[in-house]
Amino acid sequence: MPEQDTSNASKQTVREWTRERVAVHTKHSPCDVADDVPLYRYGLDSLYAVTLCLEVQERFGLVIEPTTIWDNPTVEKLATFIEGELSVG
Amino acid sequence: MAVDDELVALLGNPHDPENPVGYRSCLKADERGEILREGERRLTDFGLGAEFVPADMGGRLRTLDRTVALLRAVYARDPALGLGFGLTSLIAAVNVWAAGEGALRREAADVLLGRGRIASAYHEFAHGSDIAAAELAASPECGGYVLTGHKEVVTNIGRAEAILVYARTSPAPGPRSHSLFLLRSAELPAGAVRRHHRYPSVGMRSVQLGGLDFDRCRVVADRRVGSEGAGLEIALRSFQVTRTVIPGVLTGILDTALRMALRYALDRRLYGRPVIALPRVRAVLADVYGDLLLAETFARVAVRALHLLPEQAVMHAAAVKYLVPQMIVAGVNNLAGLLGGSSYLREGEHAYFQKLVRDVQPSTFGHASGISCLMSLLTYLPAIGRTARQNRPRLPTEEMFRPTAPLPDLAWERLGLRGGDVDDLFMLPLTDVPLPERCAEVVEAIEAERTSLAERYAGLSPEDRGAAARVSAYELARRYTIVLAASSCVGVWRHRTSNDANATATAGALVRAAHLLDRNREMSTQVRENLLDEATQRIESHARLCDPG
Ligand SMILES: Cc1cc2nc3c(=O)[nH]c(=O)nc-3n(C[C@H](O)[C@H](O)[C@H](O)COP(=O)(O)OP(=O)(O)OC[C@H]3O[C@@H](n4cnc5c(N)ncnc54)[C@H](O)[C@@H]3O)c2cc1C
Repeated sequence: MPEQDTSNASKQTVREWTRERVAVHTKHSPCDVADDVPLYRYGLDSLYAVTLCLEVQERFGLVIEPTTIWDNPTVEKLATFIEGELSVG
Repeated sequence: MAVDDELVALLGNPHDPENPVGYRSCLKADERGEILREGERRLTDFGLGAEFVPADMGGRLRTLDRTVALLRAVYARDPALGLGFGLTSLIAAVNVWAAGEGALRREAADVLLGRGRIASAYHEFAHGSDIAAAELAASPECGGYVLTGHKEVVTNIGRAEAILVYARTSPAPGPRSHSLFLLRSAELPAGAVRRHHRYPSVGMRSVQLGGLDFDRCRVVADRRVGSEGAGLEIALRSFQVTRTVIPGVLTGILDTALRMALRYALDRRLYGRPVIALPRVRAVLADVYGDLLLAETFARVAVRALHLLPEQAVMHAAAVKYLVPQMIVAGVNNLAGLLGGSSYLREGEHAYFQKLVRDVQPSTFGHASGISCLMSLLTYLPAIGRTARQNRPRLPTEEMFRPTAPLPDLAWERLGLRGGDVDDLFMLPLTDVPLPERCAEVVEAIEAERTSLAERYAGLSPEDRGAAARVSAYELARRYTIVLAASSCVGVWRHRTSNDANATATAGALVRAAHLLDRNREMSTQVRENLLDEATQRIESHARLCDPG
């Protein structure tokens, strides 16, 4: 398992990381991914949510279901969700 | 006693021309495109519907190994009866059970316990397997919904007491835009629905394939199954159950086809000897018997894994729904070649065979096409590959492989979409157990394949996930399903008790798995002759070709 860097994951960091993953999966530049636009607009389909889940686990040690991404379908919402989970510990 | 003994007895002697549920009567119904009424009556008397209702709701559904055994017996008699009466209602009901709490659970249970049927209406011509694009709209209006749009080629939609409908409740793209509804046919407002004609089809001709047009059909909010927007999630969770069950059911078709082909080869004489004496014919029969044993074993282990490792079901279901139907259709087609002209005639001693050839074809594309199963596997393979590369093989609980070991209830709430990063079947130790004669080398080859696959899965690029994956990636996913099937055989062999795995069957199945990985690996004469002896002995003594679980 890769090293988990959860100690000082600031809001910016989580958000940037999320934006970057979405950009990689949908072949956009991170600057073209807006924080408040539904991920499906960029072509992130329901199967890619599975891959993103595993990446969230590797990066933050959080085990989430793809449906969590379905229910938090923007960079902003997903980053906020991840931060919330991290702050609960 | 086998689980299906009572049901098989109810269906009577298949070869008796007077039996209204014998092959001859099934064929007549097929010729006329009519439902086999007496078949349905007997299945109703048996209470087949109750088999689809969980025990805590008054039904007899506890573990799905029993459900598979029963539906398999019906498919072995007549696939159209099995689909038209049994399987369709199960597919619909599983959606309701997977959705969790709610009044509609009671209602679905009552329909099935009261001898009714439920249709499962997902399909629209415009979108095929792409259910995330389904268009039939259920627009929220005045506290309820208004349905407008079409469902096409749906079994029993014109005659079922209840219909499960998959509809779009939000125009937005994305996975939270569909919901499921359970409608009562008798309550549909006249004028707001129009029934389609029966869609003519090549096979499954006694199945009622219909469609419905909805034109501003009002539905109260209580008819929604699960929450609004949960449709795709419920579908993807419930399909894990049905995709695991269906392959084991379909093996009944190949079982019957192989029995008929063996009988044909034993009875028919050419060049002064029985056809079964011709080496080329022996090869085909032995290969198909090996395939049947491989398919059967994989399907059984997958059903056990559904109960024991539900978190991994999303991967196992896709794998078994790809490989087993594919093998069954290929097997029936190969046997048709063996029967030659007799597999093509619609009357005479072997006339039932052409019906099997036609009825088997939807196996590979019905309820999740094989190719879409491979596509979903590609999503999971990179993590599976990384784990397999970094960890030693390990043994899951032996109940996975012991056909008679009791299974825990199905943990519906643990059927997730995440899959996780471990597949216990893929990680099974293969070469640390004494194997039947002539298997060691084959299993070593399969293990080497697994090691190399793990590397390649770990290195799969993001482009190779989703619908645009390259052909080579689909091939990697196909090989995964074969490794799982072979592992199932090794696991069953390892944990065998005296009568649930024999050396001949295990060797035959494993050699065929190796052949699926490498076309140059042919069956040795010894394995072939053992398999044929076993098969003919079983045919002559009226025993089953596969030992029941
Ligand atoms: C006897 C019978 C009974 C049926 N009963 C019902 C029923 O009760 N309820 C119901 O809802 N429907 C029912 N159907 C319809 C059935 O569900 C559809 O046929 C099935 O969903 C597949 O759709 P399709 O055949 O349109 O193929 P499509 O999905 O349109 O596929 C078209 C082509 O694209 C390929 N393809 C599809 N996906 C992928 C992918 N991911 N990667 C690569 N290639 C891909 C396919 O292999 C195929 O070659 C029934 C059909 C039959 C024949």
